[in-house]
Amino acid sequence: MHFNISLTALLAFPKPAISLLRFLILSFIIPAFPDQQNLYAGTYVTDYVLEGITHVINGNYDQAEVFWDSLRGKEFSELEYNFFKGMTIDTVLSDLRRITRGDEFEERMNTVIKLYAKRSYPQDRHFISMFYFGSAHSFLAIYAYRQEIPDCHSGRVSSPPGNGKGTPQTTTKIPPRRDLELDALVEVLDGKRMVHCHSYRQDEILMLTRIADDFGFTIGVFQHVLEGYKIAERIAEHGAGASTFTDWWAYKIEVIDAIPYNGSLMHDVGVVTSFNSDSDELARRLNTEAAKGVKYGGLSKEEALKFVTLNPAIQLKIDKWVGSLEEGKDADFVIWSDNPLSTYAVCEQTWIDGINYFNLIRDRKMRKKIKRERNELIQKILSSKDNSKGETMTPSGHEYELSHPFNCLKGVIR
Amino acid sequence: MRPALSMILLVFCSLSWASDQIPAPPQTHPILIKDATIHPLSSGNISHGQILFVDGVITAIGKKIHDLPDDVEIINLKGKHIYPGLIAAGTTIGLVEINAVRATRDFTEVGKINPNIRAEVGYNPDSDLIPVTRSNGITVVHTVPQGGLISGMSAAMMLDGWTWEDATLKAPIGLHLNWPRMTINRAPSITKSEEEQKEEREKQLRELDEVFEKARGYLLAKKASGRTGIPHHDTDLRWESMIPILEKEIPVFIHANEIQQIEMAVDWTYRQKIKMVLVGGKDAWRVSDLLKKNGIPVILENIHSLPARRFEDYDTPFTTAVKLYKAGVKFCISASSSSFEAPHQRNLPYQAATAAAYGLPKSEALKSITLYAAEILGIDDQVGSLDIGKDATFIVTDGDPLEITTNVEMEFIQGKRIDLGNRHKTLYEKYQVKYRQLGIIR
Repeated sequence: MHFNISLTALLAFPKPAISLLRFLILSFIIPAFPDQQNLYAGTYVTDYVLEGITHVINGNYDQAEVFWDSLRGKEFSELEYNFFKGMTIDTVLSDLRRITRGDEFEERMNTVIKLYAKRSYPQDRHFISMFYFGSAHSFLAIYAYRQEIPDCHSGRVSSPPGNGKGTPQTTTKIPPRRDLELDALVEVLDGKRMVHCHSYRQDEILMLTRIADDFGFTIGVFQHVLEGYKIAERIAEHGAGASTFTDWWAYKIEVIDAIPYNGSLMHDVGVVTSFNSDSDELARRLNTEAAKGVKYGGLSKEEALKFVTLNPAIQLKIDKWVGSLEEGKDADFVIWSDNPLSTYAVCEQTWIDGINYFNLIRDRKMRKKIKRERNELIQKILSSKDNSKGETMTPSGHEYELSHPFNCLKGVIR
Repeated sequence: MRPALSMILLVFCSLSWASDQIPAPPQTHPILIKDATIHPLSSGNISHGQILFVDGVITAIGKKIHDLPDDVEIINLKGKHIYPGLIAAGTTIGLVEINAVRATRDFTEVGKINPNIRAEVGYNPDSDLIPVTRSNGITVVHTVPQGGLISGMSAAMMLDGWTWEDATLKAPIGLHLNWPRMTINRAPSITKSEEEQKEEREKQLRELDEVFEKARGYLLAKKASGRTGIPHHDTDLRWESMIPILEKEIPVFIHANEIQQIEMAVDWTYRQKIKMVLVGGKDAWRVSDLLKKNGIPVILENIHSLPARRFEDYDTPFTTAVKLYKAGVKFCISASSSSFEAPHQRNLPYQAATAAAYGLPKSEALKSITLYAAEILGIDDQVGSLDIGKDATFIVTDGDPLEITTNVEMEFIQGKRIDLGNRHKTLYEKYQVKYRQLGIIR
């Protein structure tokens, strides 16, 4: 249930690890904003935007859901929003190598990036694991860094080295130089920052689960995870979720073995699985994507719907608010004209936090109103006898029309 | 090019591997299918109907067929549905295996004017994309070369056969022309100035006129060649290949989405006195009167796309089909013909379904990926509907093919029983075995 934002500038960032970077990703809910309308009409109520890939360790993101209406006239810090800390890492070599993403992509890259891409590491798949182990940003380095922190902050009494006969001495260690990149990674080791891993092939997925096991943390979700079906028992054992495309394949050499049965087979083996879109267009039609779980691999209809509702909520650790209709959860729901797995189903209403953001009947009325207004303006221009050049007019401001008064109260199912 | 060098290039360029599915042998004996619901599309549905086909051709269809041949095989398909095979009206299937791997991309030749390119010759009948696509009911694809101003000649390919010759249903289908951009691109990433863009546009339009002028001149000279006092005219493959276009035997497929492009292209083909099919057509609904008046059919591409402009209604791409239908414009529906989408052509029926969800009658939606596609491509004498004399190219399903949950259970192309296996099913079965070995699944 995610789509990527492409940050082209980051492609040129000349380091394989950029955990220094912090993104605050705000899912602005702007009621009449055209892009948002597209999504509401497709019944999409919670989006999950990932910071771009292309680095072995990518930037962090702090995911927040912010209401546009509540943002007006208020300080940001006053807002109520859902929040979690995350980080993306990437094991997909073609993205890391940057040069193998196809000729068109290569043509679009500028010379600086090209030069960097050819000189950067990793260039081979097996080196990715060495990166996690042996580089300045490896988990070994983070582990050592983490060990040092509590020692110096707690002022702990430690025995002097040697035979232990002397008097215990209180030593104050010099704190390690603060490293913002390693700070973020320490949060990963401590389980305070969830890791999402961009992945395609079974070898890289297996490798990362082993490394995570060794260092005592769990990967939150493997994204795309197109060969997840080949190694599903390992993903389940490790405890990670899987968020996959339903049926994209053959666009790169690594995804030649991607199959539409991926989701259902991982589910059968016991992995919490969801379908993602990776596209602002496909995001509008996740209901019928779920139907592909029935078609390929024979999921039950209820189970297939969970792939785009409850399962992604569990993966994002927001299932206490959204993902199913239960007492106490957010009033986020959709009214359909038909079984949502049917290709003929149309979304009639979308509700988020108890507020009706999309309504087919209201939408039609608004269209009529806009059409009328447009005609009136055209008539006004046509009937005008004034041939001189008029003065430039400025719009009076953004007026978004909604049928309800703005408020910050969160709608909850009672 | 020296022979040695060309050999090396050949070795490196022909990176291909074969799919596991074996092309079917020709139909050896008459086959009768009975007790199925038949959807001929050219006429009403026949419940508990029968269809008889001999040597790959439909010889009878109806409620009850009498006078069956002696050696007829009878297949009872109670409760199943029979539809004409689906037609993908624009794709690069056969010309691409993996879009990101240059060695597998065979759809964009060097040069801007390539009317002599023939898509069918580069079609790889062993592509893994073919069994994947046909296993969801697509039996015929319109394989289209891309790039440049004039990309080349397209071909209608059947998704089964040992060679590209076996697979070719009809070629050429038409000439493909990418209409120049008419509007000024003011995106910040564009480095060309407004003046430069205008100049480039004019240059491309002049180039198009010149190409057709030269081809006409060639045709004239060739016809006159050999007459007394007129010298022999050498063959020029580029202009030679354009003769069927100039003689209106086949159309020119103009790829254009934006309103000014469409208007200008219609005007241009009118002046050139050639047949036109509009491909893309995002804005076609805005100029439906013009298209109807000039009898220009539309291959409406990619229903599953975002609105072209920020101020358009969110469902604009979904409702374009019903608007064309109401305006009386001839159209068919196609998925995106981009090479990235070639592996995903199996989702074609769901593009038509979305058009139906947003107002197009269901029967029209079905025809827009079968009969209407065949008519626009000029292959409706063979495929597109189930009629006596047409090819026995059809699918057997357990329900409405526009629903994702429906499965294609049997498929015939010219009477040949098609293997519905594919790379994905093989891998699925393989890894089910793994989890059975581990005792995780049954």
